[in-house]
Amino acid sequence: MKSLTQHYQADPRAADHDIFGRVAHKDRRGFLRGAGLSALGLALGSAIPFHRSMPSGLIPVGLAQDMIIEGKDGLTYLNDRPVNAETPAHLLNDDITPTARHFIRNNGVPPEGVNVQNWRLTVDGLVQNILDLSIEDLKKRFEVVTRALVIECGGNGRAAFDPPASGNQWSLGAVACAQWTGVRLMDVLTAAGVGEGAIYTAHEGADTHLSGDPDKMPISRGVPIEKAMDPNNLIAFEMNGAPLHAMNGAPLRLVIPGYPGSVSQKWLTRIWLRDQIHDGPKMTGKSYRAPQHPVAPGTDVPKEDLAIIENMPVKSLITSPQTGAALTESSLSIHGHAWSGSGAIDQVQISIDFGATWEQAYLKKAENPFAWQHFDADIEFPISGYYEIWARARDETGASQPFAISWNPKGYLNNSVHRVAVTVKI
Amino acid sequence: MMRAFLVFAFFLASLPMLMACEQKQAAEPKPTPETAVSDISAEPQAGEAPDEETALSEDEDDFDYDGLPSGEGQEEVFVNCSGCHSLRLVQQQGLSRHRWEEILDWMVEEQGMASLDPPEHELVVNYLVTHYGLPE
Repeated sequence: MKSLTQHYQADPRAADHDIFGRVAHKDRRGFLRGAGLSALGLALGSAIPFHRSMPSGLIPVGLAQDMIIEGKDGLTYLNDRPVNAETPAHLLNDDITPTARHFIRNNGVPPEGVNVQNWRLTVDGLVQNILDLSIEDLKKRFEVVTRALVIECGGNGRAAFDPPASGNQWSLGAVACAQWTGVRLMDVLTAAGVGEGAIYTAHEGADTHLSGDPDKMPISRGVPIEKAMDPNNLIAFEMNGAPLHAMNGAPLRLVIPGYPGSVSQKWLTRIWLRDQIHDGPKMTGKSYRAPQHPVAPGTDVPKEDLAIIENMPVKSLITSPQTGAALTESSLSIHGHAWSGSGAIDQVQISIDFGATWEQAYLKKAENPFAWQHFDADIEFPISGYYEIWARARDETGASQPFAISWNPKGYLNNSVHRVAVTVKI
Repeated sequence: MMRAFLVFAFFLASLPMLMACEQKQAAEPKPTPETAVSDISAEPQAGEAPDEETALSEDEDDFDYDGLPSGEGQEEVFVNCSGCHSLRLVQQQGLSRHRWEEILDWMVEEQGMASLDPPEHELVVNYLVTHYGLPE
């Protein structure tokens, strides 16, 4: 990943060409035969009246976001160092999230110059046989499977907390369900032989700490052994039938659905088994922890009352229509997805009258465990006016989505009902 | 020292612009508004062509501290926070003094930030609480 500025610093004219397809006139101004003018205009949202005078290699100051990541499209950038970007809800309408629309949550600086052939994964700690595997070894030694799996950031929905919670202010779109291809984590751990006394995994990646300190890891989290041995977890090397995207962990990552996304270590280099709860960076303190009992908003919760977040809560997202839509017909088809870290979704309900009445949405079965399930509903607006479409899902444990946020100091686990606003003019 | 750092940082950030200005001097065609030859078209705007000198005349007084509002502690927050992460992270927050203190402790204890001497610490926390405190 390079920022726009970095692209231009390396070679301004090449950046003009590579990013916008621009070729300047001989005097290094303008756009030869209009090459790149349309693309740049689109990026700026307007035509450029004085384009003939515009020097080549000049970054338009009007570009709203100084961020171009190849292979990503439509994301909202919350932060550029580290890169944190989410997807607006209506761009998550696909049943399988395209790679370009998969959110990015980095904690450090992704590795550069990744060499797939030389990549190694070590499995050690409390194992009977230490494994040192290339990606080819993984493919040869273990069954390769493809699964649609939800990854959701533990802090998705934090922006709605009041009082605000610290961290990236994710709104709704730090969640996705891509097709992941890899080998089962369970099979690899079984080949290594889970040693006696092993209770927790510890994951390490090749990303580096933001401070530049080579002795620090940006993040290293883990899961209880029972969760690690769930057959749905993958050590993945492909996403939607192609190699992983650099920002999503290329060339190798864990996908451990159902838990906060942070346990699905990207740029994976090591899994070690431990006889204690892992205490790597962002396992301890207040990170990825929530109070063991409900607290009033704004409460200062002591560390000892916080517990590590395990299963992510039941949740649903309306992906069509887009919030704010102005409709001119009284009928509307709704589409969205629902998921839970604790099992299948058994019901999704829709309301257009602020929750006074609900109707059942048509709900599809998951294509595999931990894939999100799609729902559809046809609704009829009685008269013109402002409406909110609300969706709430229930999972097989009976847990449903609340209306209010169960406030916690770090802003995790917001699974409150998704609300989409529409105006209808019939 | 801090000033020197900022000037240098700004110099780096403005390199592409300076390079572009250098290229500008190669030729001086008279600017005329033109409508895009593409499908995006707009009426030409009346008015002057942009002043080509502005980019060159920028110095540290124009430095925008990545959008940090001006005020006591602006420079200290810029230098201490943006060394590791972008200021967009700071700018998203609205936190109590207590939480800002906790975050600074966490940055020092776990994230490799150099600890601040008490006056600078106070300056930084005051700035953060003033500009990125709890909304009333």
